[in-house]
Amino acid sequence: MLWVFTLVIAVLAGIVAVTATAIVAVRLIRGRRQRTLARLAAQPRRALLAFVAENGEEGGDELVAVPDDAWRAAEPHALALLGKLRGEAHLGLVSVFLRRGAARTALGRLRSRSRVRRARAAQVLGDLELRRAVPELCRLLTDRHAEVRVVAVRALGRIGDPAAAWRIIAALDRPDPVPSLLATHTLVQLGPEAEVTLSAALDHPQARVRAVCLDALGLLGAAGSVRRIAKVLRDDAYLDVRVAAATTLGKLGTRSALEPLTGALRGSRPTPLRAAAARALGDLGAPAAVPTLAELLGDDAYQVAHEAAHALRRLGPAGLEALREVVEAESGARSGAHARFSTAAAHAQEALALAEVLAGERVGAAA
Amino acid sequence: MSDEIVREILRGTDLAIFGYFVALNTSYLVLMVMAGLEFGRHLRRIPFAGADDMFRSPLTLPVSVIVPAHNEGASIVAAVQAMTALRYPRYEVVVVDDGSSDDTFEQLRAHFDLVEVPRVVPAEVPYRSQVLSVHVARANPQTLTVVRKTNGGKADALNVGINLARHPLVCMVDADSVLDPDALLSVAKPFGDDPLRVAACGGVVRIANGCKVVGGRVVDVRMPRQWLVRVQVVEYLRAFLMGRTGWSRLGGLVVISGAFGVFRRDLVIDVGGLDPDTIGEDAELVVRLHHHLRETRRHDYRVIFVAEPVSWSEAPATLRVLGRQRRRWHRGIAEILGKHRRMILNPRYGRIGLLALPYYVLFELLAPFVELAAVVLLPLGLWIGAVDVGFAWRFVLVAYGYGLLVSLISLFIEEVSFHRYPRWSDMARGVAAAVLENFGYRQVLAVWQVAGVLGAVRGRQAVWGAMQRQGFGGDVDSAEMVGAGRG
Amino acid sequence: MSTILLVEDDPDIRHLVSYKLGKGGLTVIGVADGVAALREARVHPPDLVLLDVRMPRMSGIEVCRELRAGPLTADVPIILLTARARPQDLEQGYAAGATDYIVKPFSPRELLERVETALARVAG
Repeated sequence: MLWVFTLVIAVLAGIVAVTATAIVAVRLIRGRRQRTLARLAAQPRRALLAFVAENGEEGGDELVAVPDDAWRAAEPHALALLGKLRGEAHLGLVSVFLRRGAARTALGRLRSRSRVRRARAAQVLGDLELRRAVPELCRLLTDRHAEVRVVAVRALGRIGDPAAAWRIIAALDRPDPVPSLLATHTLVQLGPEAEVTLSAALDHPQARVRAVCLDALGLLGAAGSVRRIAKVLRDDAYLDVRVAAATTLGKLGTRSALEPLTGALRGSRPTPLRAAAARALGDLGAPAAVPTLAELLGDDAYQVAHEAAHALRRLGPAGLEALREVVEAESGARSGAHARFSTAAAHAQEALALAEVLAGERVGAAA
Repeated sequence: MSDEIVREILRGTDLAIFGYFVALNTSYLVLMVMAGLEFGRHLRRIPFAGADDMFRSPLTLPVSVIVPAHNEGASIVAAVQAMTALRYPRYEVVVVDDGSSDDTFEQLRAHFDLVEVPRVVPAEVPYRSQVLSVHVARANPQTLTVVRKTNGGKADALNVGINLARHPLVCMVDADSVLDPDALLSVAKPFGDDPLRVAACGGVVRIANGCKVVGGRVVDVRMPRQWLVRVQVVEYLRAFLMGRTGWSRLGGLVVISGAFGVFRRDLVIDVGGLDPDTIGEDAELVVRLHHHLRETRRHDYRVIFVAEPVSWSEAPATLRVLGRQRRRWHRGIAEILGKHRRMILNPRYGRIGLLALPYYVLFELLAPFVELAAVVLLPLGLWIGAVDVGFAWRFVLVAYGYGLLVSLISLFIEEVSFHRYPRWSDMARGVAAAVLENFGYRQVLAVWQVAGVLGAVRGRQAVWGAMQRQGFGGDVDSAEMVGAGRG
Repeated sequence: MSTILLVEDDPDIRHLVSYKLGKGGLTVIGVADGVAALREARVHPPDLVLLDVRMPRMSGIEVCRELRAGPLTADVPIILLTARARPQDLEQGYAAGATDYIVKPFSPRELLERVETALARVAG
């Protein structure tokens, strides 16, 4: 019995010693590797900065000639620079990457067996904003692994080719979809040319697709789609989609959105929809909405009353006037500062106070 | 004859205790291997994690950072300043002054030029105290809100903050936490990557003692000067960093520190916010979330832990404060496990019911009792001759040596993945602390923890349902479950 | 020769801008945060400030306000470098006293042109 213990103790002592040594070894090796990398990267980094500062006109050949090990050391830095630059400097740096064969390597790695490699390659292609990688990246939208799909979507957004729109939409319609907000952002990055596809997708059977397309249309300012969106707001079977439709109509800011949004405020509609519609009316900036919103101040649902009050605030003078009327009507009736306000007046007061602070900020800063 | 029976029993007990120590440390080792794998996974993904895209995207989910504060006048301004300067596209800070009797509010008012605004405070989660007034910063009314309320304890303060939060994610942060600039970005990121499943995400807490803090940022990481705190550094690495990462990978994370965690606001509202009657309100919320999500959504949700970057907290530097903290923590564990005992070993709650909670009962709740039993029974066995000296010293060496090994491995994994301590001397001190921990610290800890459990048992009988008025206590006093690690 | 105070926490951008403006015949003092910037500006008032909006310790907007409040730097042109150019962000910048803004990612050439224009406006 005891000899087992003795053996275990010996083994334990051995592992403890090995672990302690390993800690020291890891430290030494890392230190050395970092020094080597820093030394290798120093020259290419200087050359990179000079090249970029000259808008990529001089020094390109020098960068292409940098030996592979030194370039690998400087590459993270070069990729980071890509994201911080625009114009000729950006194009110049991209061309250096291309001349070094980075695109070819990355395109090859999109078919790697390792998902980390695939994702990394997709990231690089996105950083390079390489249009010819679009079909391959679209193929990656059906990758087995969610994380790879996410990187592919982001890369497609960076590249901004509207032809990818329907593939991104398709990536939303699967059991494990790409994140909605990411898809929305990407679709917006594709630009106004994607509008036709987005508008057509409003009839898509998948609710998630409809919601994302609505959000994207709103951010793109697709004023031509107002009638279709109004129809979704009225008829869609899913609450989330209708809420998205209301928000989008608010962002589009056209007159014709007023009527459908007012319709969505009716008492029989679900609270989240009414709150979204109230908020959208504030975004719309149409003073005609003031009386409708003023009525909602006393609504039983906190969200609806709250959104209505702040929508009035954002509508400017006419809205603020309506808020003031509500507050004054009550402070007249129950004289004295300590009177307890009704819900409507409390919400109105909150919005007025915020308006005042915001106005003060503007005046104070300008003075 | 009866002597012989007593001796037999003692010998059996000593062996059982020995087996327990081995099982306990093996479980730590398993968690650590899980954590090591997870860190490797995480580090390989940094190049395409898309943190910059997230920072630039106008669609990144906005966050409400809720900072409960009770008598924090000395440090609140620096803390809030740092929290308003995090790298995140859109967020607001909501400071809840929980009936402070010092100048917490005056400090904030003077520095941020607060103006009082009437606010309609909804009661989407119930709260017990009274909101006295709501203030906003004149220059940034949409990003800094300060609420004054009557004292009601930390959980109640958080509930008020949740009501006032305007964004879909809420981040709970201790007022004395120092966050890394990218901390919010990392902890909110899982919600963007997997919005349909991620319900909550906790960030890691490290010890700030000894580190150089400039302008609300930790700029130079060092080991603290006192051994008492150094031991805690090793303990935090092992229990928080490795333990929770391991549990996160196993899909059984039941603790998110109140010092730094992000939750979906709608889910927190669904479960009714934090429970002001539980001591470990932060962990209790997570267990309740699991309960709720398992009942409504079956298995399709995730509670995640993010190991990098971090939130830094000041750890207790005196025995008195440390004792109070640990009694609270263990009392918290006991109360939570008591409250949710129906979930334990209930297959309906999946890994939480079958794995995580039973583990907490066996290896967290009971561990200090076994530790103390060993301290008493082993010498006793030796004295009455149930075990011989040869067995006793081997027992001690294996039990403590295994514990030491687990600590060393956690230091090793830290060294490979994050290497936050750049100085050689600090690493050496870490190793030394891992050894010293076994002499005295663990035993004293066990005494406090047992006291905490007994407190929970007594408290349950005495003040059930009675409203307690409590401050937050001192230092890192957010209740947490700490795998204190004995071995 | 004009002196530019560059306040930017990203070392890549700091180096790049220093290099570019240096080539353009300007002296660039680079600092990494707002607190250092205010200290520097009080001791050596620059001819122009290039200011990153999102920085640790103090936001660019705050630095901008403080600079405007200081007697020596009240009239110095301030150009904001910002990653986000929503109307409300820009409005906030102008309200705090900024002269111009440059959106990140930026083109080094455009940056130099903007700086030169701002300097010429003050001189003229």
